[in-house]
Amino acid sequence: MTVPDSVEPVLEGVDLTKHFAARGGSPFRRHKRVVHAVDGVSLKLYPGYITALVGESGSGKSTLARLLAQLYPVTGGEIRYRGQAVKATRGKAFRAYASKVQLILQDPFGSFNPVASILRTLQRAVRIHHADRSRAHQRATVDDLLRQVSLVPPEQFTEKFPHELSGGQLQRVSIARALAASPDVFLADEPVSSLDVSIRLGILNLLKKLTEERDVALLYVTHDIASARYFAAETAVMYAGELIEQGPSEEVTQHAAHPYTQLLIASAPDPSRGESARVKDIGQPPSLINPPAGCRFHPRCPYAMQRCQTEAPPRFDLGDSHTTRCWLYADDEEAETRRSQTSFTPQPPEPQTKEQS
Amino acid sequence: MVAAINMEAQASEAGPRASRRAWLRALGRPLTATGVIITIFFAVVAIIGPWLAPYDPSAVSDAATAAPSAAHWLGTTQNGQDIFSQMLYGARVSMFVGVGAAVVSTFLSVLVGLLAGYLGGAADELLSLVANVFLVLPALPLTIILAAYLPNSGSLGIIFVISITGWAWGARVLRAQTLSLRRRDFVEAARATGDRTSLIILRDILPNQIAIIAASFLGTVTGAILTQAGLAFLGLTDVTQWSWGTILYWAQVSSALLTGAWWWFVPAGLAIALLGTGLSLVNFGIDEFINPRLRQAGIGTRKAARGITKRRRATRRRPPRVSRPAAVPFTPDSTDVILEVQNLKVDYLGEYGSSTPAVNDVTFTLRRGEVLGIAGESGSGKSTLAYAITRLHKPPATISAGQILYTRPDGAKVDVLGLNEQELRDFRWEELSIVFQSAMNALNPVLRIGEQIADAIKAHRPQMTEVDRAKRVIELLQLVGIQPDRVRAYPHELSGGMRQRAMIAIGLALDPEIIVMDEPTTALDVVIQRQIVEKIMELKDKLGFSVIFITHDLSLLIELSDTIVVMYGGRIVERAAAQDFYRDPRHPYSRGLLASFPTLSGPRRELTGIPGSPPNLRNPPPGCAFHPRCPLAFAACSEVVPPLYQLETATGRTTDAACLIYDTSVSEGTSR
Repeated sequence: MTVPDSVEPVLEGVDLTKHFAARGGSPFRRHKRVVHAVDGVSLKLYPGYITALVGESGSGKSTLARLLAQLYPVTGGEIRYRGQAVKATRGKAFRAYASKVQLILQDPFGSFNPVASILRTLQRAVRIHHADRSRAHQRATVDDLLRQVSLVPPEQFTEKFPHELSGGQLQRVSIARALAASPDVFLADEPVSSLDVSIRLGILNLLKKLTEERDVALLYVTHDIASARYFAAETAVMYAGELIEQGPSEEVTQHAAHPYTQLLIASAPDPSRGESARVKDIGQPPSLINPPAGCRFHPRCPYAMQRCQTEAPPRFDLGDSHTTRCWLYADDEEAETRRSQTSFTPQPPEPQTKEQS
Repeated sequence: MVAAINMEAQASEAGPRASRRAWLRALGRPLTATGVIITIFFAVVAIIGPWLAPYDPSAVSDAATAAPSAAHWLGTTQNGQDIFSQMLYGARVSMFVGVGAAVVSTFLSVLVGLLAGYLGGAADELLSLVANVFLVLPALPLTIILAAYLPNSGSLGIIFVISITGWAWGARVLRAQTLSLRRRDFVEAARATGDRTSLIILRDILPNQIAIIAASFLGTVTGAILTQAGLAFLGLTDVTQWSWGTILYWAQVSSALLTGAWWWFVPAGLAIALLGTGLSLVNFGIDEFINPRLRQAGIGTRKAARGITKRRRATRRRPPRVSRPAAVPFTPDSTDVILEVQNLKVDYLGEYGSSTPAVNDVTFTLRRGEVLGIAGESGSGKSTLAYAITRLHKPPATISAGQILYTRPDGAKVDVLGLNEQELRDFRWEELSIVFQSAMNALNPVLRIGEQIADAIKAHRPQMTEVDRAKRVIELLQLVGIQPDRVRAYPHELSGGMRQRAMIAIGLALDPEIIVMDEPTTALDVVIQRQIVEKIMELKDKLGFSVIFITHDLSLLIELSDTIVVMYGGRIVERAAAQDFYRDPRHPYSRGLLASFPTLSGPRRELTGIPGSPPNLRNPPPGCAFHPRCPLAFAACSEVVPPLYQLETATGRTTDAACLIYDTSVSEGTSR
């Protein structure tokens, strides 16, 4: 399920950085305090494939999705659509961009205007992106959208208000709303986290089907790394605003390299693991106003070395397009000794296969 | 999948029709209906009044200061003018001023409030400044001065005066509302679809504020009518133009009160009071007209509050606290039962005497030191069950059947449902405590963590000294892994995980026998969740309490529980030892749930999931609630509610599953 090299990315974030102005602080200080929500993140989305973006709350994963949707202007870096840098945060340019890149939000109960019926909500979306179609044609498009997300017969849903539908049904409607634009890219921000367990699978399968059938790219933002393993070709892990590990999902989940990814996996409840090793971790994510120097994970990292406190780790290539930003994978003796203490199980046997063609 | 969704849609078919009927139902409320009738009456009078008037209101006649009679229904003035005709003419002026001023000032408030709130930045600052300036203008003197300068401009002048002094408050309220609406997901969703700003304001922001706008509109109508009457009474308007205020002015000038001509001023005063009352009544009902969600909710609450049955009051006797035996590690074969729930049924009372069972015929036992996991999706009744066990359920929920037997440390059994208020307070926290899902909401934001823990102790151990209490607080904080120097921290200064720890510390404060945890880690990240769960398990081993752990996260539950109870549609569908449950789930729903989880280790397995959606409890499917989604369902499943069948497991223990495939008499030989 990995992405072949021949596929060109449809949407690409290059070195994306977003700093929000922090509230408070002294008015006399010259430099304003900022929240480093996203720092230097590069990510590619491929048509027909799902890329998972995994992280805890506050890791910047939702901000990254909104940056890619151009709902916020970036502080640094650029967004490339089909190889071309695009800046479209307002007006006509934004509308044109929105017809290519659509965002699906987490909470289906909150993402609908409570006083508008499903028909009105969908008609609005259709009208924006298919203004040239006739009224009747637009109405037919709405029914067609509902059918595509398996809400059939459509007449049973069009006249309802959001509060009359279940969470799973609403999330399907919000996918239908995103489909109205016939986009190339879906950005799904935790699309199933607020749904019941038995319904999640149906929504994820629907998203996967749409991704493959329509050859669109899907960014699947989630805190559930196990679902990333099952649904995404690629998985990227964020911690404190930085992308710390990236690669094919099976690689990242089965041979996690970064100590944080290892912690994340060990913490996830998973009865299939049998007797789990007790996790000895009492830390929590750092403040993003004054992020730690060097590697942002070093205050919590059981394997931290001297250089982790001062120098930010570069990206190390572990082969098979699996990369991580952790000093443990540097090519020297100290790192090697430390690395052998972690639960990292290299595969292929040599952890630093530079070339693999 | 398609078929299942379809079916559910049919089940909730009644939806839109019901909500439309609700418009009428809101009218059916006596108070609202009275308000609407009064308002409509005066509106009609204002429109057609002048044609109905039997006399010219200014026409002088011989019948001076005559009491009400057949010729003059409301009597006459000093000059023999017909008061009834004056009232009819006056209604028009009063209503015109009221509605006119409300239209103008509401328009100004909406325009300024929405623009300032939505655009933000410099536009917001400028518009807010203007609104604030108008807000601090002394309204009464200004009104009087402006009215005095514009005495001949008629009603329009008055409308202008009232609007100018009245719009700013509404603008501020609407701006605040807009600010909060702007951050809501559906506005962001509309933005992400690519909608224009103007459309978003008109379609998403404005309709969601209609209730407030309407309320402020009606409020302004009332206010304007009163102001107009006041100004006219003071003689600051054109006294030859008939309005209710002018009638009062002439009555006052002519000393009607002294001469006992009550008919002169009473009708006008009454009319003003009545119209004001009518408008206020409409105002109360208006939210239900407008909010589609409110149209359905909140009807059964009062009924249930009345319906809560007063159980027999046990005699007031506070048993001495027996120190409990030392904690023994729990074994699956233990028979040391501490809590027994028998055939518990909890109903939500609805309108027209209907009731919806949220928990139905639930029976289980909790043993000393056991971790009992209750799993279920939203609407399965698991949280209702937790509240019912602690008797914290609120109307419209009511316990309609069953028993909850608690075994005291001395061996005596008490029915929790029979406890009186005082006993219940002792039972909660001393014997059984609760940890809720949202620690931020459950903690008081203005009290320090230490004080909140101390409060829980103080309430139950008033004799404890200050010093001992402080010592106990520190001890508890250390127990749950919070640095003792955080004792003076406020809830917002702690992270989510730390707040949940503080909640657990409060739960542990009185050393209870049972802790009920309702989704204590759901809002937390996995890493923090892991920390909390390990802490709970460590404390349980150390202190020997029993835990009822409620969550929708089945994999977490399997890891931490001794016994698992799965709920579906308000009933228990499976009860098993955790490891048996994981290896060999017996109910089709449990099997489906286990096949919905992606796993992290081991080979990737096929995920089948469960088609369809959870049942609608208002309109549950007949027979087994799970049958519409069940791959094994056969004809009998839609007719019979299956009881729990006791089944042997590979480990030699028993599992209970409520599924007809285990009934030898009805089963058609389907796979077990």
